[in-house]
Amino acid sequence: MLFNSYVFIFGFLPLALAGWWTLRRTSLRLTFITLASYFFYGWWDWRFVPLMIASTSVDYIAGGKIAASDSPVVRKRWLVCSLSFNLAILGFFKYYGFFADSVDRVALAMGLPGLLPTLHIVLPIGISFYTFNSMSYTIDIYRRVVRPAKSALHFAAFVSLFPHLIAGPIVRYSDIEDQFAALKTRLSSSEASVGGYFFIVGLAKKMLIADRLARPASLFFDSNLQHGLVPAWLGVLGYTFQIYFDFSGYSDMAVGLAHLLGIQFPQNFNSPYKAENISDFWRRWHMSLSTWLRDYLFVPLGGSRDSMARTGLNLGITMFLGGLWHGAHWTFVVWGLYHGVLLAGHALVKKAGWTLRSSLAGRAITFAAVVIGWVFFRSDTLGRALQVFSEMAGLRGIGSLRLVSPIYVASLAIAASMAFMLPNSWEFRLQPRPAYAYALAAMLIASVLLLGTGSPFLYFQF
Amino acid sequence: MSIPSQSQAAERTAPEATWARFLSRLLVAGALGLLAVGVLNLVVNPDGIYPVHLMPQLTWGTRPLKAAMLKTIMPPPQALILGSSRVMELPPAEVERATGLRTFNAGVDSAKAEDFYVMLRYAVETAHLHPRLLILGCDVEAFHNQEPPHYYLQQPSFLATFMKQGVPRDWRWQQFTRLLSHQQAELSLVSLYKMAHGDSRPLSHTEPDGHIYFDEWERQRAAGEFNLEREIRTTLERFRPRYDNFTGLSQERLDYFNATLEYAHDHRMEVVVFMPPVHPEIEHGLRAHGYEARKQEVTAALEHLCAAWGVPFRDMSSSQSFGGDDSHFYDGVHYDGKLASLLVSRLLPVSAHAVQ
Repeated sequence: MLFNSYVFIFGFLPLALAGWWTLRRTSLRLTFITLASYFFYGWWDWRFVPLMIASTSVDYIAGGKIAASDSPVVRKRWLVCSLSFNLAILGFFKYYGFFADSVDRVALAMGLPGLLPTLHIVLPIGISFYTFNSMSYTIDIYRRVVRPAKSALHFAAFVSLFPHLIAGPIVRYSDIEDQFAALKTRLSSSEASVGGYFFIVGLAKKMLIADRLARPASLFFDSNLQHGLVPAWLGVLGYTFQIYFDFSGYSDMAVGLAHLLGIQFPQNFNSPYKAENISDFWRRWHMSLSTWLRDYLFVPLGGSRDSMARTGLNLGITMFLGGLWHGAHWTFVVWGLYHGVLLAGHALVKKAGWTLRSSLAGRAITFAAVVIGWVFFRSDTLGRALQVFSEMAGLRGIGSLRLVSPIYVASLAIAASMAFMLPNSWEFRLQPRPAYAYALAAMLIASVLLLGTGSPFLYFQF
Repeated sequence: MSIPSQSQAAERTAPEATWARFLSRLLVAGALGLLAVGVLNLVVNPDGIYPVHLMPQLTWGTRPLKAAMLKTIMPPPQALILGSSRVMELPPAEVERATGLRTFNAGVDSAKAEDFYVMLRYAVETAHLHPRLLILGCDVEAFHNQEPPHYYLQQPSFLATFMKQGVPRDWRWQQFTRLLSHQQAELSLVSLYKMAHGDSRPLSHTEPDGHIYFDEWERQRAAGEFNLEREIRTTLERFRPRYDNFTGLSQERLDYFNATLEYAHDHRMEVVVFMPPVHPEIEHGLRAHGYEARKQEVTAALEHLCAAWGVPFRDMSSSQSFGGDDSHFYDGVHYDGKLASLLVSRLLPVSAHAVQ
């Protein structure tokens, strides 16, 4: 079920909120929200609900065993068990096809027949997110930074909670533990207003901005025709703002929905296109994934404690895996490595004491570097990415302006102004003024009228 | 743990009563706004899909119209023309001249493959007609893999009963969501604008034999106001989004087409299939949107299916292919009576032998 659908807004959400706030006992409320979340997930494809329950069960049992034992060997064994299970399902559903295809290509190049059978595996939606949520639980128990869940119900509710289930933010059990232990029994008007604000702003970002940019951007990337310099830049910039408003819109909606349940989620975006360097960008973009990769990958690898070369290698490995997390495709691998190189380069420059005096120049350079990265990220193949680069460099001519829609250019300009100049949804200070209420109502109405034309969120595919 | 600063600010800066008023305003304004849009769409009812009929329908309601005509037409036709609005200009009189069969043009707007099947079954099983000849005009979009069937086929109606899956169980929900859609709201506003400006001039009219005349375009031609380039631009604007998400052929629609040929075969009807003409500027303007690839796929599929049932298929997508001239187009996809008559005269010798 999509957040941006009639059935969610007019059906599921009112019923879920009514049930949640009507029930009084914590166990009943958690049971209700878990079942509702399974229903929400099963609406897409019920066959994958058991997979999520299996992942939840394994991690709950492993977490309990780790916490109950003082033996390092036993603790490690259960941690390995949990990680292996999660990585195995992730590997099978998300990476088997990529792996088999790559092996077969190598075999074919060597004159050998295909070694691995091709399976047409459907990727369970949100699998990357809920396995990361779940894995952080057992790792944190192993590190003794979090207590095991009070009950299987608490843990199942944490993993399946519908606001973050499909595309994050990647929430850790430590974020939720205390909130579940003392669930609010009443939603204050101010909290409901804030929840509504985040939900409506997120919906508007998606429906009024991201989806307006989506079609021209897709048209450019999905077509193999030669477009030329101007259409190429317009297409790439369109995608740059589309992905930001799409994903930050989703994150805002998730935060708002959690808020309407009396639960608070961490911030996931902080005006990333205002970043002054690439390191700053990664502190602002998809923050829950960045911090996950930092805490569970980069730091255990050694972080930046050793030599510059080692730090660079750690960054490279972390970003390589971060790229691969987005999808089993060489374009994501190259995108991850590209950002790894940028981060390592930035660390080197920082250590050498070279800094830009102008923050504006820093922003411009960082934005340009990120835009280049999106070309890898969005292109279907590396060949197509190189073709786009040659068009952006003007090697295929200026291109025809006949097909450039003025409405698209205006949408792009509005999106850019919002991303560069306006405060983000977390910085904006909501006040209980009538004008704000009416503005939000107008945004809600406009967004609802466009629901029929909406598309799934971009991050659903990851 | 990061806590939304909004929440902290909200709790600090204003009393709960103020927030309660804020929330009430937001909810009431949002609900009233949506209610107003819903009521507007219900009352204006631009597609004619709701029970309220206070204003004339803005969009073509060709399905119920053609269904009603098929049921009452006397004497009963012996040949049927099926297809989209692009075949509605084909003159039944020309078909009768070529074949000797009384003909009815049962083309409907935005027809997809399921419309051929549904109209044919309706004609035979409800209107109790026994056509001997079917002329099927197949657009490329008849096999669109993303566009849903026409809304008239998704709500209880005479025609929808012939859909393979019947009427969707959630048709009431679909009607509700259409009430809150910007498409309906835009159509309602256009309808109100036309009413306010007394612009009730019909764009076309339908003859008793189902043949359509595009009166407004003919009037513009006669007055020297007609601008083909402008009309083609408008068509391209409408068609580009359709092709953007037309990523392949719908297997379900191919099955419907196959079922239509099978049904015709079982009822001993002769069938002629053709692809209606399109202005080269339309083809050119849609090239970047995947038109050529989809056309090739449709052509290959039609050749294959028609060959399997022994039915002739003619690609007449270029007016030059049958000796026509592109100046006869109105908007790049619809064309005038001269081109339509020429098309019929070149198409029917293929079947004439079989029918006679």
